Amino acid sequence: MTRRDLLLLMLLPAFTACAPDRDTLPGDYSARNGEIEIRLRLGKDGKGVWSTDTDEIPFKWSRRDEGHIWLHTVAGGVIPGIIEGEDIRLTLPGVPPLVFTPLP
Amino acid sequence: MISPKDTPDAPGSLTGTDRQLFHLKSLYEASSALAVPARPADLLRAFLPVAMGPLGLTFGFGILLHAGALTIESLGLQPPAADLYRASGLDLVHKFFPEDAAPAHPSRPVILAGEHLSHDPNLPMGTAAVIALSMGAGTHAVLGFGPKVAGVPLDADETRLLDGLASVLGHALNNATAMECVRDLNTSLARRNDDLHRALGESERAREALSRHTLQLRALYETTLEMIDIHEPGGILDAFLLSLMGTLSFTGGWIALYGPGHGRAEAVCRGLAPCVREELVSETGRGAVLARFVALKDRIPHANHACLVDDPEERQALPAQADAAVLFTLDQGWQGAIGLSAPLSGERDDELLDEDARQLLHSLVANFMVTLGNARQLDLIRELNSELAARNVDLQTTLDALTSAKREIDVQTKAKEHLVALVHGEVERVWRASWLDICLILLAGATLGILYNLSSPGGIDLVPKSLLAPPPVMIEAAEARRLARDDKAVIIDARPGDFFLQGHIPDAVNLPEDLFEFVYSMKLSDLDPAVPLLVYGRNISRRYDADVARQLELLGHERVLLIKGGLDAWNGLGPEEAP
Repeated sequence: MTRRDLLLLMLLPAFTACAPDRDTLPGDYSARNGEIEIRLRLGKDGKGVWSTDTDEIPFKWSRRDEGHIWLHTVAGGVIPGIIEGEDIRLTLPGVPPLVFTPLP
Repeated sequence: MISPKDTPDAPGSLTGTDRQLFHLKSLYEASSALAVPARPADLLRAFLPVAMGPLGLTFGFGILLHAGALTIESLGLQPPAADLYRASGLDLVHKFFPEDAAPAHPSRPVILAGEHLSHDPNLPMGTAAVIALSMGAGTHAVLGFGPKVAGVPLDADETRLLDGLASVLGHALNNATAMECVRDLNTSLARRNDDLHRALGESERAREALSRHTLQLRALYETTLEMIDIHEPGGILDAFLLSLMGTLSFTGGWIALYGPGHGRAEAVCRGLAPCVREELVSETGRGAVLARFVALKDRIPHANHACLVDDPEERQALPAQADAAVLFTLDQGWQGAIGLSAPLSGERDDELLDEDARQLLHSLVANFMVTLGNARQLDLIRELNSELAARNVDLQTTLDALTSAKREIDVQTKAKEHLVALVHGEVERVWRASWLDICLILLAGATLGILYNLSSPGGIDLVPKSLLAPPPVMIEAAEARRLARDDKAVIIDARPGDFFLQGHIPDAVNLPEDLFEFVYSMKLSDLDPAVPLLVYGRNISRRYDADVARQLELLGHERVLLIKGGLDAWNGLGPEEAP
């Protein structure tokens, strides 16, 4: 093993640590809008479900650069979101920002 | 001197040898008496007794014409006779020596003797002998003698004695006139020497003045030569100040130049503290110098003119020390001052500069102003050239842009012509297309549409649902406002969020079609189905309100109404009045 190979081997964990963790977003999240509790499920296949006590809305999701996430509605709309650590902040027209925290 | 009384009883009683000895002694004594330096008139006065004594004559007189002056002496004549000859003496001289025949050189004396003389009316009564003497050059003498005391006429020896005495007098007069001539010459020479000394003094002064003028001209020439190669005003100020100090022998000096407007000042100084320059270019310095111009009032320098500041108080008011100062004006906009201090001579009085120095200073400042004016004009020309060059660059850029635009226009014109020709060709080709081509195009379009709808979740309906659905119920904007106020209806803005943010009906809920389900679940899911829903939002190409209204009806809402005219009609109602 040459010295260069050794250096690359040592840097590989660092590169791995710095790379975005695409597998950490999928999962179940929960948020509240007044008395309404919203559950958000992000599937690993890019599909998701927005559900309340009365509705269950399918969508697709994608991760953007610099900590952003987009929810693509079936009707062609986009709900932008910001990834804040483990939480996701989503904004809907006329609705206060919804902060989704991961469910255990 | 031997007087007739000292002689024996009578000269005629002497023997021949004794008589000759007596005559020789008389001649000797006459020569001795007349040998002393004296004026011709004095000699004439001394001669009469010397001649009359040895011969024992009763009277004698002499008339001398010398240098235009007549001298008459007499001895033994009664006063009336003497006065007569004082009046006619000149005629008597001219009788013997006519003016047109006056000899130019001394001649021997002429003796006239005889009885006829005693009866001549022009001579005193009893005249026994007359002697005429000419010393030449306007000096003549006429002598007359009376008879002997013994009453006998003069014999031959006595006549010779008289002739000898006349010769002695002639020589004495010649010597006297010569001495007088020498004296006159000496006097004239002394006078001429004085004149010469005076002329030499004037010549020396003229030479000194010429030297000063030469020095001034040289200083002017060298100063001009030094400044003529400098084209920058600051350099000219510095070079002129140095030259001025050297020419007028000052160890310090300064020049300040002020232009129109504040902040335009230049100054140089030498032999003074460095802070002097800061003081000169400051607003305080500018004000102090320009105040001197105001103080001059009607004597203020005109354009390209300068004046010396003679008043010591005015010089003290300048912003820097000045034992001699000049104010100058280049033109209406540029004025300045020059100050010189600490003269090498150490004198600090009001008359530090004499007239020559003042004139030289005037000439130097005049040259300085011409050179400085030329430099400023050159600067102005340079600035104008720079502006012209910049404008030329801008013009060239504009021309390039116009040329480029023209080329682009040409290209676009050609492209347009090409496109028009192409469209015309295509139109013609379309008209030539067969039904099979059209069918293939429609088939391809339908296939692409179906594929897109299959791949896109929000696909495009082949026929808009709003066209297939039953027409929504419309409501006038005024009625909608009343309904919203009385029945607590909910107003729904169906447009996309961007339009909503630009403007909407107050209290309206933004419910875009593409986010319908999400927003509905958050805002309207708990709403009573009986509550009226007033929907608005459409434009030429999209009918958001109809699509959203249809979805709301599908969700069970009983009264979904579209506001006729939408937001514009609502806003056209004006502000809502308070109930």
